Amino acid sequence: MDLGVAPGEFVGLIGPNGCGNTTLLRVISGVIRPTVGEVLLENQNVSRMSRRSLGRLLAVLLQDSATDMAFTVGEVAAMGRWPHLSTFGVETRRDRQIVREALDVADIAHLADKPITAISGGERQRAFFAMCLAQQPRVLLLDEPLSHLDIGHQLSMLSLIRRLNRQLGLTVLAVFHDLNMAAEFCDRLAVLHEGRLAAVGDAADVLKPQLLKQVYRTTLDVMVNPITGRPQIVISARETLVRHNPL
Amino acid sequence: MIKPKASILYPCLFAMLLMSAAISLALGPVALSIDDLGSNIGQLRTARILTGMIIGAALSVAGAIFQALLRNPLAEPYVLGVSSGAGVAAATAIIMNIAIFGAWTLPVMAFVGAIAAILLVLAIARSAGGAIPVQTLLLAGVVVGSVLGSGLMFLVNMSPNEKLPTVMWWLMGSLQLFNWSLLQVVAMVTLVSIGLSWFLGSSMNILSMGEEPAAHLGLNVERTKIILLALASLMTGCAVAACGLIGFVGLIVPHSVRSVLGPDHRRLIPSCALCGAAFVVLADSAARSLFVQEIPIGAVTAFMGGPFFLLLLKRGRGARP
Repeated sequence: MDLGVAPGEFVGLIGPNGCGNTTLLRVISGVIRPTVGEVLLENQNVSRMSRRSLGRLLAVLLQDSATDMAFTVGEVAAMGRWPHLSTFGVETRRDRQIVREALDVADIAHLADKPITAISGGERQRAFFAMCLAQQPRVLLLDEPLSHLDIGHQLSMLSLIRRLNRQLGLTVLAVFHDLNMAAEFCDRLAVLHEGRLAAVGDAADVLKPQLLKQVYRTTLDVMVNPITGRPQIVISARETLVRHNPL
Repeated sequence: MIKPKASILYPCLFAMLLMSAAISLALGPVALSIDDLGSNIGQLRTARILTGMIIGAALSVAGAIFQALLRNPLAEPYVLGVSSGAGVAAATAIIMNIAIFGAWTLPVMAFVGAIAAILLVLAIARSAGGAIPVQTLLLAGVVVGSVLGSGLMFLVNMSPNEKLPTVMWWLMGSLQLFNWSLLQVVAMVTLVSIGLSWFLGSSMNILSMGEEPAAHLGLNVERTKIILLALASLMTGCAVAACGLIGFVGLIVPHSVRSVLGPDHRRLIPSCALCGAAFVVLADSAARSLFVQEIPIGAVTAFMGGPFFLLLLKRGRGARP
């Protein structure tokens, strides 16, 4: 596949289970080395960059970091400064201020002294989001950022990300399972199907019933959101089947 | 969790360590005071106290490293087959009267046995790409430990009667080190390793969040894992070489310190060293003075450490919301 993301873009990665969107994120973040092809971040090959310089440029928010070490929310957010610290790992006043700001922006400052093992899944995700923000990245990768959140937190998380995207020029690439959320908040959508790019472009051009049927192997109706004008998958409770071989 | 300032914490821990040394000096079949330090018994006891401090620090820091590295609360210095490897080597040396290195034979063989076991575990756990997945490491450790352990049982069974007490004493651990130069070597290796581990404290913090998050933050995960494994293995190997298998210390001290001071390894590592040192010294003085016959220190560490840790566990559970 050949996918380009311009600086300051908010691109949504969509596709069915097993299509490879999480794998793609891990290739972009350098955790997996591509056997063919390369990933260029600001014109530098990701495989040749040091992990530290990559960490200064790129932050990744994973679905759920399971840990039983009882670091506080503040300590977790402070870990985001690691790629910027000197070898001895000494934090300056500036570092601490950046962490405080990150906690504020992620709306988790009120829980800064609580251990992350003692808060809810959604709050834990915001703590790790604060960690990503503390890295002061120019690119943010998100793997299903909405999975643990209630509808209110889903909307506020995405509004926050879009605000950071617009105000700070933060480039965002996020994997979504919720097509409507992706259509509403992203500049462009990239559709992955069996490890390949099936379509990329504006949501209105990509979320077409025919393509959706081919990719998700189920019939989906698309309408226009009466409030925003963006495309919207409409659910009806008729029987739908996802089969490997269509009947 | 309490968060005292470093300028208060470390002097307090150090004072605690000195107090345990003083207690240990005074207790025992023969009561001693500072004036008696020059005497034979004084020298022996001082040697025991110093050995106890070094071993306690080594095992506790190694335990903390293994717990961070393997991200498993049950991890401890002997988890990767070290105890069985060292045990087999030591038992072989005792039973077959091997004396190639003179007085150093037993420690050297125990050390070699410990390191060989870990290298075997590493070789088994290494994946095709050179990475070492942590789960596989743990399982490989259990397997190697079990196989070598059965070898040890066989050796113990076959050992002639007069050798058996020596073998058993070694397996249960003892601070009776009559070799100052060995202590010097062990002390040097331990102190350097603890220093390096302290330096890697912030790396251990982010590693305990998970290997992928740590990589995303900029850590060279595989290299850090190897270095940590090497440091922890060195310290464990030295401790085992000098004193046999003193159990429980490497498991209990990191957990106890963590439950009081929190999981920040920049603080945990030095605190574990100091607390572990004090713990072993106190355990040894109890081992020497509780009964007429000296009991193995491994029994005391488990007997003392267990209830103490239960107390911490209960208190922690009560404090949680």
